[in-house]
Amino acid sequence: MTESAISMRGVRKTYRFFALDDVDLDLPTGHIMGFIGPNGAGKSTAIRILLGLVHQDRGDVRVLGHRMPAGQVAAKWDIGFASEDMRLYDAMTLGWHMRFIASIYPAWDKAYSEMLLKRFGLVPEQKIRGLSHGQRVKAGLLLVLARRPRLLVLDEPTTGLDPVARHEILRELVSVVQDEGRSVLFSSHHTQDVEQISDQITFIDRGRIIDSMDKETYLDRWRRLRMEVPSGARLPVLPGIVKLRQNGHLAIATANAFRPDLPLAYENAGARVQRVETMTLEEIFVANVEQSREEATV
Amino acid sequence: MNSLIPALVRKDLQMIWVFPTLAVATGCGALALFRLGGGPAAISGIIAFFVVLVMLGVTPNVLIMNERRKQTLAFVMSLPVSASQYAIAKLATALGMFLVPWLVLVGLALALIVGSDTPNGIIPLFLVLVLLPLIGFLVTTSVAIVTESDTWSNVTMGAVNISYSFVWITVISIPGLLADGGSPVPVWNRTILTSLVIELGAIVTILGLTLYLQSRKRDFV
Repeated sequence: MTESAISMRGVRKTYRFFALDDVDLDLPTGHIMGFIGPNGAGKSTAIRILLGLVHQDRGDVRVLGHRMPAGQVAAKWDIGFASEDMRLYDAMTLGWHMRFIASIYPAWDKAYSEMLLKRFGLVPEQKIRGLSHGQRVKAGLLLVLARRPRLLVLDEPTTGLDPVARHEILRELVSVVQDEGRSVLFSSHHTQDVEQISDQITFIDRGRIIDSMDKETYLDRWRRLRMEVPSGARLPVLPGIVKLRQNGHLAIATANAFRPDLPLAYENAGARVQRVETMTLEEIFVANVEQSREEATV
Repeated sequence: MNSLIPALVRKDLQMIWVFPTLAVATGCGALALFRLGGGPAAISGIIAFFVVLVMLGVTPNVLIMNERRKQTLAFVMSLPVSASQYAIAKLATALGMFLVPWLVLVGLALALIVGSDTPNGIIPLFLVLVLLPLIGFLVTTSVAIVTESDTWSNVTMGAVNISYSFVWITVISIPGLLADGGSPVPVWNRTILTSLVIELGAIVTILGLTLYLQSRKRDFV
């Protein structure tokens, strides 16, 4: 399927001290997009625009074919949203919440909800105020997953969780997205979580999308070259290199468009290439943000 | 797909049904005091009755501001509901939670007046007075929904509650409102009717303004 689950074009939203600036975003149906950005980058604002909870000042937003914010009610029948700062009613039980959601969504899958209860170790009779943070997150996710939404929007769902709870939640998300018709937007600043489950990656910083592509391409294109440099030699910044740091005899070049001939090009410039390293998503993210901020200050 | 407004109203009622129940019980106690006690006890009953009506106005604060304070608003707004539908649901629930006890207590009070030797001429003035807590309640509810601000909500609630004593004294001192209070039958004179029309107009205006302002909101959560 090539239809977009999410499409944002030229979206702008201005606040007094922050602006989301000309955001373009595409999530093809059936894909999982990791939406990565530092705190305050604009992830939550973008997500709230997607849900119609915040109205963009300009730009076109479509979610599951509905134009937002006008089509928010129709769209939200098929969207499951969970966020780190979303709370359930603490005086009520999880079972009450399940009955409430089941009364709204005809697609509520009772068998699946009971399976999730067991898998997450939750008790329906327990009041929300008696749950730990991890259990609350799992309870929120259960309420979202068991309604079988076509689009899952998760805003920092693993923030503040212990490693075991994070693992359980990520495992469940991986199994959920095996259904090819389902799309997921997963926002986080935990790049390890995103790396585990996403096939598309979008970086956002200071209200701007700074890069967006499929994960494998990211991991293929970004490399770090460690080199030894003769005394007095200055290495050039070759095409495809976003950062070159030289300290005495050692130099590190970071490439965002790595080509197999890059090491040879540096060898020809006088360097001895010691190693070509792959980079983790976190390293790519940090390098990307640094590059974007440097470009913005020039 | 159907509107979620009834489901949202049911949800809220399930969570805070205890408030209107307590109000009815306390109000009935106040009326019993008025009916059975004499002299100071009867006056205490009347005061307690109006205090209960005023306290019913706390409902919107519990209902609306808690949604924001306890961060459950995002949960509700993730459901297939618009900002306007959310406001209608909250208004409907708050109104129901105020009006049901209000109607029960006002109805019981009227029955007590009719069934006792109290002159029935007091009934029109009584209706003018009991509509004031309804207006105060609508003002606090509307401010809570529209501003979504703890500060504004609390300031408004405080101001409204403090204003009752002044407003009631002012209303009672209006020439013509008490003129026929001693009559054995209710007398709907021009002053009484004008007061009731003004009060009903205020109610409709507040409701309309709330829904209008809510529909113009651009940022909700």
